[in-house]
Amino acid sequence: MIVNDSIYPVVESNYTENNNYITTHAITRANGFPFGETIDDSITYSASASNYAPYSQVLIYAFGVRSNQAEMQVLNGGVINNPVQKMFFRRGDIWSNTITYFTNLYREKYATELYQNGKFIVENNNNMLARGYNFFSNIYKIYCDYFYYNANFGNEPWRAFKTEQITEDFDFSNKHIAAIYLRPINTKFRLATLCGIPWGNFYDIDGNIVTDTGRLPENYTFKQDEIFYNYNMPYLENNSGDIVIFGGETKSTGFYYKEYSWAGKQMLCFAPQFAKFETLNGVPNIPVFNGGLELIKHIAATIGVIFTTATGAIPQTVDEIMNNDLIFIPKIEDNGLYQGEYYTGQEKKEAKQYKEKWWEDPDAPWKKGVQDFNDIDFRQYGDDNFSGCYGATGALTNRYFLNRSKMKQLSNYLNNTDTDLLESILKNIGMAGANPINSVVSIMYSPLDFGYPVVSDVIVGSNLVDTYENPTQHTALSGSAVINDNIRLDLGAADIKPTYKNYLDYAPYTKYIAYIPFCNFVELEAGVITNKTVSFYMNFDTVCGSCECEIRVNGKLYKTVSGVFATECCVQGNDNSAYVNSILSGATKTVGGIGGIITAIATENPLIALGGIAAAGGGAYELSTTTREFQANGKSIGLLSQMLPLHVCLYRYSVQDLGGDNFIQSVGAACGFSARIGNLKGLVICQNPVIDNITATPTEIEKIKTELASGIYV
Amino acid sequence: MVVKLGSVSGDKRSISRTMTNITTADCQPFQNCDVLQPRIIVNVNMYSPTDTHFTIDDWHRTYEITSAEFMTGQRVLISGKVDVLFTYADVIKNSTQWIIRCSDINNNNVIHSLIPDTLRPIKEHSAAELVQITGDGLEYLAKSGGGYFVTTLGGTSGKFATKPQTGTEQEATN
Repeated sequence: MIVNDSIYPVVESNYTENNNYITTHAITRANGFPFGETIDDSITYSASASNYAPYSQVLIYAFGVRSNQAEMQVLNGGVINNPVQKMFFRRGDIWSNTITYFTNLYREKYATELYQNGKFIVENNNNMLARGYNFFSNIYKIYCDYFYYNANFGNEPWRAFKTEQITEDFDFSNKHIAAIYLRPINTKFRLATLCGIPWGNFYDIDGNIVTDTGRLPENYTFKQDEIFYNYNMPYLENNSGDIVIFGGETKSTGFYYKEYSWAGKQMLCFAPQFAKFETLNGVPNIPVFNGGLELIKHIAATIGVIFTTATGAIPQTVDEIMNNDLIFIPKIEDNGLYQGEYYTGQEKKEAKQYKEKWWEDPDAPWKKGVQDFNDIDFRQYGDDNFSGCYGATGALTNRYFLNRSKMKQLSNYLNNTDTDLLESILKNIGMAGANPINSVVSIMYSPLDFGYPVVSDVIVGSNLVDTYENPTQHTALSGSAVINDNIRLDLGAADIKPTYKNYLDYAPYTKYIAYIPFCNFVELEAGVITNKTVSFYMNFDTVCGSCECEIRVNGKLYKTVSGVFATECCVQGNDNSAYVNSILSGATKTVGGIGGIITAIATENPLIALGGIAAAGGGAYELSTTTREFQANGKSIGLLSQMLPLHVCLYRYSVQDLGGDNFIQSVGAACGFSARIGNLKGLVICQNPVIDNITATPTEIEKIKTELASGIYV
Repeated sequence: MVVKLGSVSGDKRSISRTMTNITTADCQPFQNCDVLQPRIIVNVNMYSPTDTHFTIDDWHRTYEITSAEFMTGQRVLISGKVDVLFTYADVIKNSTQWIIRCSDINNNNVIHSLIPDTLRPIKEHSAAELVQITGDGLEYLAKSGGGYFVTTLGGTSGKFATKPQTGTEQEATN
């Protein structure tokens, strides 16, 4: 089990920086163990700085980024020899779920659409925004820029977050940062695993299966404007203090950390060989962290790498690794994800990758990637962070968003007449009330699709109706998981410029009325908004179908107006008590669907069997059906408002000034200010004029006052 | 007593007027003379019917000619009243007043005045215009035609993960 160095390069390189001598070992590993298969790519490896950022092209995909930065990570063009991949995370208490989420997102969103045309841009924000994850609240986009993919997933939908969400200045200077850089080896296979990202089989444009997270062809030349249309810096949270940055070069497994002090703090540095060259926003040496050793270990375990608290190189054989108590290996959950737990000491021998000898097993899970994410329920994540408006329905229900086609499929499923399924129901009747359609709590039609992540199995009821062939599936119907109960979108803004630049621009002469999608009209006081910027943000409650538009003036909340964007639809349900009782009384025959039209369960009545309840004229039992009618929440009826424009329309109603300049010149404009008469021009009318320091008779003075009050020309 | 006769054009309400075609002449007050509404006698040759004002420097005032009567002996009796705006123009210009109407369109206090002007002719709410809104609205979310929020109960129990046994198998097991 000794790693063949000829295939798996072990690279030692040294450099001196600030008199700190750092040795870095890079070996090829995955899931804490060396690779055990042939790498089919030729390996061009050189421990030269020129192979690394910033001297080689740097590719970013990042959590926690900001979009309003003009600067881009420089891609100088040329051949991509050692593309560097980084993931930036903001750290939270349950941050490991970040990776879980990302991995699922990664798989679900990209796996089938890779290697199409053009670059790959993935954006994701509010999918996580409203889930109560503090550390998600500012996550904005994920950029995977070196995939061949031109789809627009998330590109447009989340644009609206730009102005509101990304507000903090990026500043590394007082942050605590950990970075784990995975140094490159020139293979396309293992990056995802190394980064804790389950990977699957993706297809390139030629139909070749690759298992990479995506890679540019060797001769690909970047054009800056086609790559990072908007480069983003990592987003850092001021109040958390703990920032984790993962950097992973696409060819790497090299892992190393060194403990030393800096500025009086304990620093644990997961030092990439050339980390010193990494400069973000002018601040060098970002892989510095003072979060403590345990946290560092947690981080390392989460990304699924082997690590050690000892100095020096990590051993290169499994035996050496297992017998060294200072070496840790990550714990891999059943779903293939890393949760930040790790084994140490002799515990390591309990690790499945060791017991199952994954390095010898061609079918080892890490070689296949995570098989199934169906058991991932996003709403369970971060329950401890749910509060207030968040997670209102996440406790006992599943929430999905289905397009019309999927909805039809679900309907068909619920009305399935498959005999096997019905047999299954009967044979497992111990689960009373197992009619799946009764598990449909509500259905709301929404004209808006918020682009939720796709899950492959919509859960309706228990898995009573699982197919035998695929027991983990419920409906086996893919859909989108509604992972946030609240969504906030930017509807746009307007700079309110005055027309007349006088009182005519204000009430009662001018008024503004805004049409808000789903919320009808609302009047905005001209005196409040004139010469200011009015911004509209819509908060959607995907639980109730209601929405509330917040209107801000120069960023400050001014008004809110509520409406309904989704309409409650009919859900037909059955009284299963009769159904169950009838079955328990000896039913053996089923005809009809397992959904709301199940009939003829318990009797031998051919009419029921053939024609249903209506034909039976009452039959053995009455099928009690309750139907919820369309509901209109709030003041706007959803279906009606859905026919109206989906953008804000702001109207200005103003009077027409018939006087114009002629009026002003001849009559003057009403005003009120104190001024030296000689500084004015034209007609001047004064109020209560005061004349003193004058040698004139009282009669003259009164005459002058009278003239000033009636109007003089200057 | 010396008087300057001349013509002053422009609006009487103006404090920027000047006297032109000035003729200086000797004059005599006529009978009892009011300094605010004087009557003076000048030689007919010194007076022109185009004269509108006269100034008596000794009295520090300029007067608007209200009448001119030709008298015997080559005399003209000129009546006037003090033109306070002309006489005290500099004092007025240097005074600071509270301005309630003004036509100085270069003055921001005038043009940007927010004081309602009841004299201004307006047409009530005759115009409605759309204010430009930046941003894309929500149309991009509706391109797919929308969909359905479906809330369901249930979860993965694995309880029925295996295929039920056939009757024969079940009997054998029993």
